[in-house]
Amino acid sequence: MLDTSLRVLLAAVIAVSAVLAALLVYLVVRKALDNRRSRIVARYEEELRVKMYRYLQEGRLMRNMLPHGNRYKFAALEALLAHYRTLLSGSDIQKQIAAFAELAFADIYRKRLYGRQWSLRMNTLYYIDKFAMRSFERELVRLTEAGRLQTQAEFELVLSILASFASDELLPLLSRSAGRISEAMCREILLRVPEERFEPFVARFDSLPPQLQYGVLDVIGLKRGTERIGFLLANLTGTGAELRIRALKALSQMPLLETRADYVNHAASDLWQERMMAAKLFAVVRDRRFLPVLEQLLADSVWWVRQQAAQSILSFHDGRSVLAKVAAFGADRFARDTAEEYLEKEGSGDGDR
Amino acid sequence: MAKILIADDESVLRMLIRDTLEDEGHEIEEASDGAEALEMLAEREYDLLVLDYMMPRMTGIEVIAELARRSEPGRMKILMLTAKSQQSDQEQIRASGADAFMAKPFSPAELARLVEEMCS
Amino acid sequence: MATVDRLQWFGWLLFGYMALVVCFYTFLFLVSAVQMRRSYRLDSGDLHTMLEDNTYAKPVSILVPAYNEEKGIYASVRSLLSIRYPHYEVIVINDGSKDHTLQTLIEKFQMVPVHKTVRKQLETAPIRAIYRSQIHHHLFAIDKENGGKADALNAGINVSRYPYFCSLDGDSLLEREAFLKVMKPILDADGDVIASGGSVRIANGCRIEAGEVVSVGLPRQPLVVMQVIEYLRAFLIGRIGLSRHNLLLIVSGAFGVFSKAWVVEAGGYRKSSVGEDMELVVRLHRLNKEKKQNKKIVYIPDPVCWTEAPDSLKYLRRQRNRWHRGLFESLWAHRRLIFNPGYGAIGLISMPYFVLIELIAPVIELLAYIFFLIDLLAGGIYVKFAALLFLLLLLYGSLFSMFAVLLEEWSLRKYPKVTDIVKLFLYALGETLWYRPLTVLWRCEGLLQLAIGKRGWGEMKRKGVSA
Repeated sequence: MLDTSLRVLLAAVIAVSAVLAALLVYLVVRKALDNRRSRIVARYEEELRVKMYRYLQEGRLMRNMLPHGNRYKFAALEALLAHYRTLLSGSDIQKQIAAFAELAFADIYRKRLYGRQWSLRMNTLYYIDKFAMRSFERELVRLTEAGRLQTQAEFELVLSILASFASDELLPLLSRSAGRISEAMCREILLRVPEERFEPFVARFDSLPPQLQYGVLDVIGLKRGTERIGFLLANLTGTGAELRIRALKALSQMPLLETRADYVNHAASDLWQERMMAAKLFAVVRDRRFLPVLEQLLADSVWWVRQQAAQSILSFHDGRSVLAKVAAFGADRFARDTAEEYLEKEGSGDGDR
Repeated sequence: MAKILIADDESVLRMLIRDTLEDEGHEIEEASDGAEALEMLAEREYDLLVLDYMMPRMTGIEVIAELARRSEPGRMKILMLTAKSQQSDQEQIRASGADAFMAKPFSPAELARLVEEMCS
Repeated sequence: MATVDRLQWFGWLLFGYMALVVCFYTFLFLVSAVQMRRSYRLDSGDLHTMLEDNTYAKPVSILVPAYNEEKGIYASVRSLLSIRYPHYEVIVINDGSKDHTLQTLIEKFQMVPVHKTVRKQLETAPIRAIYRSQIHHHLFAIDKENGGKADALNAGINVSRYPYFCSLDGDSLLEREAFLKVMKPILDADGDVIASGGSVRIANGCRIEAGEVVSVGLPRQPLVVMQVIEYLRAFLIGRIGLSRHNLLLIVSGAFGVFSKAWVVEAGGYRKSSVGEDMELVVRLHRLNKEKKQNKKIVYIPDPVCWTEAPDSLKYLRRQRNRWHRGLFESLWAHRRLIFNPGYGAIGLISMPYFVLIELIAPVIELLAYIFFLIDLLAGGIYVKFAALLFLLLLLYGSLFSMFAVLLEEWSLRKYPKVTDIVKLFLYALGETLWYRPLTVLWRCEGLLQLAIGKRGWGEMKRKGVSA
């Protein structure tokens, strides 16, 4: 038994060692090749850097700027263009970047989208997105339909790209697959939708899945879409607590808002999130009738509500003195503490969050 | 024509700014971080400092604070480059005392226009 | 020859145990390899432009507990201030240092005392004062009385404003992008991920400028090179494999992000524990199961936090003593979970894995080395058997470490030079011969210290990463 075990184990160790040695050789060779490759690519990058910038500024292609099947040059151009894309803005530049990418990269990308390696497919999608290569719009829609996208990450990225491209297919696609996508992702995708394509999401709001509805409200808030205030107000009266909270949050992000007496109802909600959002809203409307309500919220049982109340009070022109009064004579300890803390923050010239 | 110092740790960005501004006929020098910029500023006078906010060793704000401490009466203008992703510092950047701000990524045309405005 | 028989039985027992361990490691290794390969060469720079624009990115409080770290504290805080993340605050907790840690901070960052109501959600040693930087408004320092690292972190949690916090050692450096990467699973998952940890690597040998790792390299001292390999192995093989099935019991205290609400509900860091990071994660898993939730704790290999490794035997030994005591304490505190089907895979796989493999292994290995010794003294009657054990030890020590080195090169590739890889590989080969026996001894020593009741986190001497 001992002998067999020994023999088996010895064989195993030798086999594993052989595999390890082989792997080492492979990896070392690969690393050497890769290092060489990145040196060549870096050289091309240096060579093309100024030419590329000239092209982006003036729109004239110079000699030897296309890869012509040279994969080192391809990689260099890709990296260069991607880098410039993060450094430069302006619609002319964007247009030039897209034009160059379509000219130089599109054919290869079309093949890569169907490649076997996940990371390569993802990178290709990133570049299509980054360079705004609109010629891929139909192809991307087709990819979602055929169920060809193997992973969630690819699916989400494709939807994001379609949003940026202002595709008509986005709304039906999102509605169908809202369950598959996280709330944060939904919002991110909707944020990318250009204004003129956003209207359908509002018009068909009631038929959208909840996930998407939240996203729509959030995005209106983030974009400070004052023209949709009426729509937000309509969502305040519903029974869905989450929709009310989101609508309040969106309203509180508006630069200007008319006051309404019934806002006060939200300050009496059972849900602390709703009370907090109400407090936030009062800071925007700056209606003095809400000051006593805010003072009450300063003694709320939930920390977040107290903090928001203090911050909102400070947005009134005499907010400091109101807080000072509470800090000195307030009946509630929480309220006093919070008031004091905010007075000090204000003193140090910081009003963040 | 103005004498301009670019302080940014990213060399490609410096190159882009240099290229853009040289086309407008300005004279450009570069510093790769805050400390180097301060040294160069001590040695010679510039009309405009293009200053990146986020640099290793010293942030743009610290550079401005140091310049203020030296309190040399200067007519040099400061254009601060900021990344929009940096929310934590946004207010301080505003209050830093720079004369103008430009977000990264930037538009070369916009940069040229802004510099023209600041130097005239 | 009864004793000989007994010795032989003893040998077979060792053999059986080690064969089991080898099998388990092989399983973890395979899972990791598949997982790592998938994201090979994913262009993560692009991945994060998306994240950066997200206006909803969750704000994070970075907590840096510091005890006698005057040398390293400036550089590491400085590097934290240039991290790429939309919204965060940095809170340094001076845990009653006896050196000038606090004064250094106050001077370099122009800090002034502020009044701040602290929501005391966790009990801590008294806070003397809270400071805020006048240059960087999102930088705070807490000055408190000494209470140990766990206590310092709890104080940081009390003072922090944001829903997530990241614990970070006072003497470590984050890559600029690391934060975005480690937060990504949390942002993506709508609150389903309650903790996320990144990799910890050794900074000795890397070129560091102004608090940033400029180029990655290997240290010269063999003792530190061995630790580099050890970390590669622990993170790349152990954690990916466990994370895949939500079995992770360690989110490194050196670099991890946690949901504050969950940690507070779990009671914060436990003060008496020297292995506070692991203990907390076990408690989070426990809470998760007890609340019948399906929250996840994940590890992502790519974001790296660079930390200084001890380069002398004395401090390395102390560190290992401490780690092993911490491991034991965490497991002991939660012994109810072991083989408890009520806690699912955590009770049935993770806990037994840590007890049977991580905790016991050094004892068994030590026994194996003793076996060699006895055999040698007895005149080598069991040459074959000794050879058998040695091969197993080799497989278990050196070969897995070599695999870890290759896995790193196959996937993450943080080391730029070809010679680095070859060097690491050859060092890994020698692991069984000298480094492994040393750590085995130290870990057993840790267990011994437990038995005689030694506590405390064992002071570490720091030179400062950036020095």
